Amino acid sequence: MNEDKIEPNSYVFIRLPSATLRITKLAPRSTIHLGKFGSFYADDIIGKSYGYTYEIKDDKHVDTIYSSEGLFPSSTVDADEEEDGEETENTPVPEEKEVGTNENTRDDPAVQKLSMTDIEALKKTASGEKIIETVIKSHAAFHKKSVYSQEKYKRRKQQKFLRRFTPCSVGSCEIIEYFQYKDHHRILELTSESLGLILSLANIRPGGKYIVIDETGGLVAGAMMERMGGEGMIMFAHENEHPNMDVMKFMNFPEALVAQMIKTINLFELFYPEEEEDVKVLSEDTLSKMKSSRRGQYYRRLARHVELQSIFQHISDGLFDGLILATTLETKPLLDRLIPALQGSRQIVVYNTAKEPLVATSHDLIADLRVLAPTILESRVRKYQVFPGRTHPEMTSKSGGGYILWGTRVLPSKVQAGGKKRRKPNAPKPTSNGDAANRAKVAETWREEPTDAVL
Amino acid sequence: MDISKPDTTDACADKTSPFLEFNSSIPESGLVLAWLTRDNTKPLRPVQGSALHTRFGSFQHSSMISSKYGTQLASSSSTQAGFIYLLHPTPELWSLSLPHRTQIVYTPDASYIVQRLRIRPGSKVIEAGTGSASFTHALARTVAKNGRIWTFEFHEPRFEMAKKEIEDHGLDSVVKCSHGDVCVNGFIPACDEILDASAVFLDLPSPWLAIPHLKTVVSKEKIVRICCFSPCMEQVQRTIESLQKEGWLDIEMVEVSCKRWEARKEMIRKPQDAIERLRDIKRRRNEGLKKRNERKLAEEQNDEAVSEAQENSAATPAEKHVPDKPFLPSEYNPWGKGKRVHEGEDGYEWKEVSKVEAELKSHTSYLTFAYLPPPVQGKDGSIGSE
Repeated sequence: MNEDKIEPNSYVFIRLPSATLRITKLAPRSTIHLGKFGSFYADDIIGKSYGYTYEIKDDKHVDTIYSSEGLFPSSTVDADEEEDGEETENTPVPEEKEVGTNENTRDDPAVQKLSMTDIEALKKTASGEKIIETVIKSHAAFHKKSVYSQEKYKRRKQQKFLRRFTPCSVGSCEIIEYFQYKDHHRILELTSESLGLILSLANIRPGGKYIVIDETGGLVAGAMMERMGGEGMIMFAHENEHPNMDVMKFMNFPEALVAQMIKTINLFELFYPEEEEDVKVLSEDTLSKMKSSRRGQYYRRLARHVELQSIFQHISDGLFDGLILATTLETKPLLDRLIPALQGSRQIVVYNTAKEPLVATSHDLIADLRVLAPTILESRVRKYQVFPGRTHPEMTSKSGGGYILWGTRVLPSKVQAGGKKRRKPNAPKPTSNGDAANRAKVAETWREEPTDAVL
Repeated sequence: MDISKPDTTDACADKTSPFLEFNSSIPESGLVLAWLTRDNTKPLRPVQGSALHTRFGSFQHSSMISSKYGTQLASSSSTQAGFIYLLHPTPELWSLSLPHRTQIVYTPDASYIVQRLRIRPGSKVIEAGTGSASFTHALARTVAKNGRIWTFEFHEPRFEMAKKEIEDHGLDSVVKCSHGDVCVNGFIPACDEILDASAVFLDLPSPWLAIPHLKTVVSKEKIVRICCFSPCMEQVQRTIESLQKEGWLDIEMVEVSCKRWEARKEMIRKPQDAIERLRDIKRRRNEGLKKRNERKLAEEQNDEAVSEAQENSAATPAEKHVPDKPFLPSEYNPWGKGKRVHEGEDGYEWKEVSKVEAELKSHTSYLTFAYLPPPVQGKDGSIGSE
């Protein structure tokens, strides 16, 4: 998981001038194909720092773009940067008199003097920038466009013809960006703002021992790993025979690190530890007579058994430092099983794509008293187009982001066996604003005076 | 406030920080966030002989020491049966309880910034200004003991307070506080460290004045990410101009909005119940009219039998008002009309709903993100641009 330099055989996130995103494995000596943007030799970028943008040449080698440019050549906004004298009349300075309108714009396919074949021929010989220049020069009505629409036109052509790309290291943000457009459901519609909030609220940090039920292909667990720096443990509980970490695999964690930090347990093992069968310990003598494959199998089973026993011990000792649920399974039975595994004053975070299940869970927790101040949060990021004189929120944005239920595990001095709460005649009434925690607190005072006893 | 109690140096001496490490139980003079209500959390350090006095009662520090974090503690006063929760500090809980010296970066923004800037354990981060050091705590938790935060504050009293607080919280090995105006003097730390940050957070009135100073203090080997936090659009525009001029790429401006929902219960009021109630009212009105008519008839037919008729119909003085108020609408009362019904009370049907909190934090600041690629080695070995 080197986030600074491109390592051989790592997955790399590739940003292109068009909105297309790719995640590609960079095998040494391979050629990476980027569709209409061309192909390049992986070796040209392996070993380089992340952050550079490259231009694909005809021989499939790449040139590094100088740092004042990224995917798009010289800023389309700042007029001062414009070097071409002849362009000055079109420089996009947003002064009233220079802002054209679409008053005289007419749809007319004849304004573009280049034919499709001309452009195809051009693509074979010229660089992306040259093509764009030619296309603009051949556009009879380009100067009639407003400066804004000139820029938009140019940007559209850049998205089409530039043969540039920027490789990025694949972290949780890139995974989200990629799946947001591809298959958002596969990561339970998580967004960076929701994931960031989950990780912060759950207090994920190096050295912590956390529980996660993660139906996002390991994105959540992977994001936790990013915040743990190789220290601590994640108990990864899952509903199938084998854990699904198909998404996490793109994040380039070394296998050994994953094995060291992530301890998997299926729900059957989690809920019925007593049904876990002992592994019969075999003598050296028996083992030496075994076929090596059988012997290997035996050692793996034994190691797994020992690991499971230690997980069971952690659960029964209640030693965990936080809990994240990102699952479509019903929450209540999971919380009932897992809350006792948490130490006092540790965070519980439940993510769901819909609010209603969290509302139900929230009501359960209000009655439960082991979770303080359950709160449902909905965080959304809104992107803006920012150009001088033309700043506004973007017209469309991706949906998703779900809802987050956050509460703190506490140790009530008297655990109420979750039944009905009876109110004393003169008991304080629940606050009218429905503050869940206050109501829980009030509910608590209705009972006899709390004792000093500490659980 | 209790936090100012003489805590001597106990907590700082061993250099562990509750923001960097978990504790199971509360050490003497260890930082505790005493949770009173959702909007009222008091930081304190329990020392023998002290007590916390609140409207929920008094709480002896001695009963906190060695208790487990998360304990629900009952008041020691016999008259008030209140209680508090003894919480383990986290940057998020701290941001809810800290002494505000400035507008702080709230958790929805802070968590998004940490995620977008790819802050990791070991990251090196520049922050300006420090403000109330709320975001500094969140950063410190994530960069952890192998990371570094250089934070700058130009307001001297705020700098002093932040520095003391960082030391108090055992974060001074990770967080280096400096006093100075980065817009004028650039990023000159108080410590003699060479800055090579890979992430920058600017929460300044004029970030565009600080941006030109960044190139010398950010990493030359790796990609550097920045976030500028500004409440006004005009600031954003000048910031973006400056970022472009300085070669920052992929400039993007966003706004985070976060809603807090409350789980509530709403009574299920079926139209059929309304209909039944109206039917009931009508039935009883008719019964009342019938009785009254019968009585009138009886009165007319037999003047002498008035007293007898009254006895037969078990008339009470109240009956005399029947013509004005022929019925009481309380016979069929499915929703407890006229009674004080508490949300979720037994005997009624409830639906679980959610409502957005009363006061919505609808705008905090605009966040401008960008990144700076590492300098390119030219063909002639020179570094820089064309």
